[in-house]
Amino acid sequence: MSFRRINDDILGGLETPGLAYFAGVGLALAVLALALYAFWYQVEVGLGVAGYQPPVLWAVYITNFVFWVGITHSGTLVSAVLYLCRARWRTGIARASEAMTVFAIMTAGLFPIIHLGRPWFFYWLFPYPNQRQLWVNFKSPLIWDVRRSSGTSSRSAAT
Amino acid sequence: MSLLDAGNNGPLVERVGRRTFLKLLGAAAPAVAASACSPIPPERIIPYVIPPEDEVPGVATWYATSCRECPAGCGMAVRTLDGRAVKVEGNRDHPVNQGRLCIRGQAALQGLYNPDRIRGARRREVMNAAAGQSRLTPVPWEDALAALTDRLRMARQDGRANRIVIVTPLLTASLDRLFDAWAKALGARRLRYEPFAYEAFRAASRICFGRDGVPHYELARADVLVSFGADFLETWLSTVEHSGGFAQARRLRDGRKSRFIHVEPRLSLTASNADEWLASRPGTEILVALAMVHVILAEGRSQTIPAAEVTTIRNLVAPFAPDAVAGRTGIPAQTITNLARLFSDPQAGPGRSLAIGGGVAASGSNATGTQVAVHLLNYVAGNVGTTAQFGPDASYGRASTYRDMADLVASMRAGEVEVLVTYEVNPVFTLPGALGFDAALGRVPFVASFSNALDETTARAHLVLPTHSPLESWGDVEPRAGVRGLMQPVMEPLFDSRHVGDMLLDVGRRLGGDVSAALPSGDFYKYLGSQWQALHSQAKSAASFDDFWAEALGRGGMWSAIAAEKVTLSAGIAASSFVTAELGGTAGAPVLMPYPSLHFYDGRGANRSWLQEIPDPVTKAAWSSWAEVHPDTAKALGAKDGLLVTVESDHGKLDVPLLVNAHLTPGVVAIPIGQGHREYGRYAAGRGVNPIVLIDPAPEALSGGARWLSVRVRVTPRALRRPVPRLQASEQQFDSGVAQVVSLADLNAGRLEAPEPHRSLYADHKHPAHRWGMAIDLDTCTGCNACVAACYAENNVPVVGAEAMYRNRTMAWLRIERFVEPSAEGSGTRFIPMLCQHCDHAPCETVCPVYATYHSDEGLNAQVYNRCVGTRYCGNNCPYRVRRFNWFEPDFPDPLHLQLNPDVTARSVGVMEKCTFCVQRIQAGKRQAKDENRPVKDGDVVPACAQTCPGQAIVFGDLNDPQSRVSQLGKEARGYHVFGELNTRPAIMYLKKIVSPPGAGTNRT
Repeated sequence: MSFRRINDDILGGLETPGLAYFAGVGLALAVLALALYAFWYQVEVGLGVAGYQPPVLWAVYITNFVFWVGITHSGTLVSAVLYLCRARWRTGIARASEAMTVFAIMTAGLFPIIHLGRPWFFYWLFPYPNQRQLWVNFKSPLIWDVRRSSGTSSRSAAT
Repeated sequence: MSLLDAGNNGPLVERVGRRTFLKLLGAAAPAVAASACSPIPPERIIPYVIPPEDEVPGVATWYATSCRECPAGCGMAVRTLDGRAVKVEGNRDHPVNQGRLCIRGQAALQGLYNPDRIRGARRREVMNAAAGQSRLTPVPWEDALAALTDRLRMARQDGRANRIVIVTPLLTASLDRLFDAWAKALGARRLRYEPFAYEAFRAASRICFGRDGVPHYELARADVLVSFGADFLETWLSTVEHSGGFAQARRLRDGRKSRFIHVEPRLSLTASNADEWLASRPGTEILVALAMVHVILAEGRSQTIPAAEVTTIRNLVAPFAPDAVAGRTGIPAQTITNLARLFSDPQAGPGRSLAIGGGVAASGSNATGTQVAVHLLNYVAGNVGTTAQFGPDASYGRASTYRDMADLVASMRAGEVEVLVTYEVNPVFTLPGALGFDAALGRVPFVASFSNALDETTARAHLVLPTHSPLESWGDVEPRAGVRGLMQPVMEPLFDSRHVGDMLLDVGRRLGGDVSAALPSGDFYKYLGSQWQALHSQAKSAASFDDFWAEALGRGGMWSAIAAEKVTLSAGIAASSFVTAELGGTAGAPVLMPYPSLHFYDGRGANRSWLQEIPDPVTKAAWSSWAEVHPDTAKALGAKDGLLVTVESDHGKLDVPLLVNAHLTPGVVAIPIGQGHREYGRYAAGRGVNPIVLIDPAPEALSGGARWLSVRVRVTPRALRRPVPRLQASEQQFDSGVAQVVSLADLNAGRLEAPEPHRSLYADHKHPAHRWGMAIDLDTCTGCNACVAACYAENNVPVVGAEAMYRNRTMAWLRIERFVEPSAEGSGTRFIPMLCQHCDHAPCETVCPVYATYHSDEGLNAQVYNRCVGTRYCGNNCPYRVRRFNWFEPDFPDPLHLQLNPDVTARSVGVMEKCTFCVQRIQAGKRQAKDENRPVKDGDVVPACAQTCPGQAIVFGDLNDPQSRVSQLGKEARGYHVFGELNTRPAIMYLKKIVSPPGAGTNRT
């Protein structure tokens, strides 16, 4: 690894990126557009398009949610273990894992909404004061999921 | 360079700046979101300015009429709201069904609101004569009636009789008389065509007792019921009446139960409810009956018949000892002997048993012989005059025979028929293909169809005159002597149709001359009135005719008891010969056994979406046809379940998926009748197969009936899989204890399990006012699906269609689970209606994140549709799997949406739903009691399922009231909770089915 190479790598971030980068961004945007269209289609037509087969009522969306939450936890765990062990070389790794955690929890937070039958009412899962004096059912494990996704995980990742 | 410097001159991106951009984004996004979530446009509801006299919005008006979904003629009470019929129930006062309706009756509304009803008269227009292209185009009524009049006039001109043929179903009373008068005036031939016309029955009555007729059966009085194929819980004669009578007979009395033995090759729904199912070889049931007669006479067990007749019959049945027939029937000789001894017990006295025959056991070349044997069996046991009564004969005695239809086809083929007029019959579908009705129809120059559904026959007509559906019609129905039910329109005609009676009279008047003179004046309503004036004079009633008429309309008809007539054995009986059914085709090949379907009857129900959607009670398949074979047969064919096979006889060929069914005699291919329509609307057309195309067209010799059981078939597996959507994957319970039984011995000895103890971390719910609960008697439930259809009708349950059925996405709030379990006590099939249990400790309530489901203070588990976000956690947590999710927006194609019950929310996509114990009826009952200033009493609130059950298996009421029937049933020793060990504390108590041990060596059900 020459100094020239290190120079180029660091300064490269300040220059206009090349074609490969834009091609990559274009591909990512295309996939995002497809995902948005798919989600719109599902909201428009109904969850039936997701291929559920009763008596199985929870399928890939919840599975995905758990997967991404798992990644979140792994990031937090790595960071915490490194801190407890006072590893002096933990900075770079911790930075990467915490960045991964933050993005993973944001991804995970999407899935309960995608999974809902009426996602336009997703905000009913949050205990906000309203004139109907309705609160959420704190006994329900799903609310614990919501609490965890919206609050705890994000906060712990940010520290 | 600062962004503030850009000012008004610079590139746009710099003039706008970062902060402005973010402000705009922040404002635009919600604006876009808000515009996307446009509210549903408001509907303007305009109240009546001048309301109709007897209509109060929200208050239902009930009309008494009669059901015409099959010839049984049950009485119906129709609930109408705002001039629309929304629910049908049985008429409590009617002697045939006593307030209950079967699944076909409940689906009658879908005939009224069928989206494929013909609207307006149609005439055939030829577009391309050479290519044979023509179509039915709308024409004004005036033209249509004039066209019919002209053709009839032409056909009568040369004075030859019988150039005109009129084919109707089995009609009775006034409309039948009018059709007869019309036919007579025109010099036309008339046929009353029913695909299931019980010809063999009538021929047997003629042979045995010298009188035509189908007797009246009283199943309620039979301690021992032996059925030879007679599917009295499905289509045989009068199913609601017989289901009710059967349920009554089966009640425990003094620690004893009646016995029911069913003999047929297949475990049908009726056979499933038997104490013993004897799997006979097809067409050999006659031998079992004769062997029983043999034993009864040989052991001196005959009752009430003179010695001379004993001798005659003994000689007749001499060759049919049990040992002689056992090999041919596949039923052990000792079983037959035991059965005979059970059937006629001189110590018990005469008239305590009943033998009935029909269905697949009386549908071969020996059908008449089989029915003669059954009549003899009843005769020697002294049942004729008690449980089997001639006198109040069923109207089937007046139907035409299949041979009459075959003769008609011959006439048509010979060019003898100029005008064929049909009314609500579909011979193109229900007659065997090989008879050639379809081709012969091409030789008839003019075919006119009075029908409101575009079935196969109507689709071939030159003129279509749509009739009112039965719910829009005046009329009367006489299902048996002594019962005269009335029909009245429950709402204004929905579409452009007319009453067939009105049209007959109109055409008669147009024809003028002697035809017009021979017919009554006025319209059909006036004619009906005149018929009832005659009844009024006969009844010698003190009231005026108007009062008499109003009272009869309110009651639903007029009934009188007809005494049983004495019959004696006819001398002609000695000439009878008894054989097993002859079967065409290669010896050793599987026997085709088409069987009538509970849902579709003879195919007429296939265009009703509820009947397609609700699964068949035995196979739990929906929206399809199938060919059932025994596993050994399947192995011999080299085919597996779900494989498409070609079934071919000497007369036709069809492709149908295979369904392996262990509860079937090996060597039989059983295909239900009713599907396989080519026309008949969106729900029926192009779906399934019609096994009638395979059968032999030659009628049965003695009776002229159709021979459904007549051919052996070649079954060839194909390389395609077409599995049938089945809503219950397995018929085994795997020790889960869902449907439980108790043996009669244990019940009498009091050896029953104690209910599970109650335990809870939380305080119990308090139910200060009412606590609603249900008791379901599994001993009475026959699995007939009537309650399921009633629930669909009452609660706006959507139909999801065949595709969704493959993914098990049924929306049925109530399902009948069927389990088959051989065990030491001879228990076999168990049916258990499964619905929301309204658990006191509901697993679903805890886990809903938004409190969309909660426990009401009356014990109901309530679902708040507008709070549900669709997480479906509740559905996962329900151990009974009774919660249903709306995967798509429910679809009610116009005009089926008119059937929707306005008292029940229609759910939208994304919400969960489930049984509510008909909370709208609970509220209505409470409101009624409050209006009348009294407490709610037992019987005020009856959910739809409980209301219609022909056996009264479901009982609903207030558990807080110790006197209520449901409380008392809940205390019975037989009571248990499904999955009680999960501590859900359901509000539904199931009563275990009582099983009694089989006789020695008999097959178990």
